[in-house]
Amino acid sequence: MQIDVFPALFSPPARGQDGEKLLVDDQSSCFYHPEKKAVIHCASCGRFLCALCDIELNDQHLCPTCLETGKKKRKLVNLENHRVQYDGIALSVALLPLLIFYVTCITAPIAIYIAIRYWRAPLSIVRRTRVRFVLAIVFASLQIVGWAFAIAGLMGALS
Amino acid sequence: MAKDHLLYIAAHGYSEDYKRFYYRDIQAIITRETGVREVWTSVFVVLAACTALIFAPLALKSRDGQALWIVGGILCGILMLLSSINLLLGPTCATHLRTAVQVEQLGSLNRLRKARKAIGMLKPLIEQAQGGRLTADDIMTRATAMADVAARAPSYASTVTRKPAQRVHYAGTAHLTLFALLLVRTVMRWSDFFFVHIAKALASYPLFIGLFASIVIALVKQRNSDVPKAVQGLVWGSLAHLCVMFYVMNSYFQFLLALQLGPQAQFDVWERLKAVSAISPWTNQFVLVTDVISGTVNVLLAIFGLFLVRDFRRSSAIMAGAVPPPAREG
Repeated sequence: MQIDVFPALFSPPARGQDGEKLLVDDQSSCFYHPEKKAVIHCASCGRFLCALCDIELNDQHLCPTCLETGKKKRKLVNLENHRVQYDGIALSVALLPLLIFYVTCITAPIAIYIAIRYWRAPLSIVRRTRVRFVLAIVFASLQIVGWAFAIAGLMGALS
Repeated sequence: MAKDHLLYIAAHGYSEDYKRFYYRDIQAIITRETGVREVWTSVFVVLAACTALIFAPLALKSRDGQALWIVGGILCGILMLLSSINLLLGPTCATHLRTAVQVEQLGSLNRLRKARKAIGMLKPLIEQAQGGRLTADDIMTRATAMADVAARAPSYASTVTRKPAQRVHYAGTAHLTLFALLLVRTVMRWSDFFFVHIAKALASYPLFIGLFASIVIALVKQRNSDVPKAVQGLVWGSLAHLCVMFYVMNSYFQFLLALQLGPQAQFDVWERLKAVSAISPWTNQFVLVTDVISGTVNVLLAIFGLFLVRDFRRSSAIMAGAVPPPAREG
């Protein structure tokens, strides 16, 4: 067993700030805690914040509301903790049904729809290109063309 | 590795979860060797040996022995190649990262060589963020000081308590169904020694699907439940056994039917079904061996499973007060 220890193990936990009470009326107060003194303003919405409400992230000071909004709208990359890989889904929907060939008449259009619908969706943090989307569209299109030829041939044979 | 944090990506099929560990917060990295490499090596070697034991006698007795030697050789070769790759990748390990609020396992650092290389890259970044490295004397001094503080103020250490993992009570119905179906399957397989019929072959398909579905349901239900570990292990064992037998029997029947039926009749589902249902263990050694082995394993799994689930249900009922505990003698 190997254990690598760092100074943080022996550091006491950082105490959170409660925020100073407002003693003088003409001082600015926190937007969320009117009885507390404002120490900074939110970099996103400009609201005054006490030490308790001030959240420091990426050298910015934000209020809890802007932090929540930034997380939901994916503006704060550091808070993003989940992504769906639509490019992988599109490619799998285009390729895997080839094992049970007959369902490709249904899955090929679905693969193209997924690729177009989620073209602008954020990809994996480590993966940069949209090559899987392109491959999904190409393979699905080939399948559709193949089905078109098969149906045309069948119609010709019947007539 | 970013400038100020380590990004940990957990991939789950088509989605990813991200966790960021800031260098200033990392307290320790623990690397512990595990025996996973040895387990997988044993699995591959045993599978290769079983494949050789199945194919060698068949190839020796069969007229078209060459094809069987080739197929058996390829399968054994693939398994031994996987075993070699596993050995070459080096010893396996479990790597944990500790901060003030969590101990997180870094699943991707599961090989000792890779883990040591990654830790070698991380250490300078962490030490730079935390303002220096610790010597052995530093660690001893600070650890002693921490122990003194903890001894004088025990309430500090006890304020952070972990809640025990919530376990849901589950009565084990899916497990009972699974083990009962295993017994039914064994009876069906062993009845081949007395008679073969196409109806039995037809019935075996829904039985197989039902067995597989009950395994999946049992696996889902037993997750985070109070079902004993032994029963959970038997379910996983049943899944592994089912997969191995499906792979082995399917491969063998595909090969046999390709030889027995003509190229056109091979794609006729009814002809294939009739041919498979006519195979008796008394006329086919491979089917004889697999029926005996598979049936024995199924019976053992089913009997152990049924007894364990019965005991579990009894003890659960006693704990719930529904059934009085058995009277003790003396």
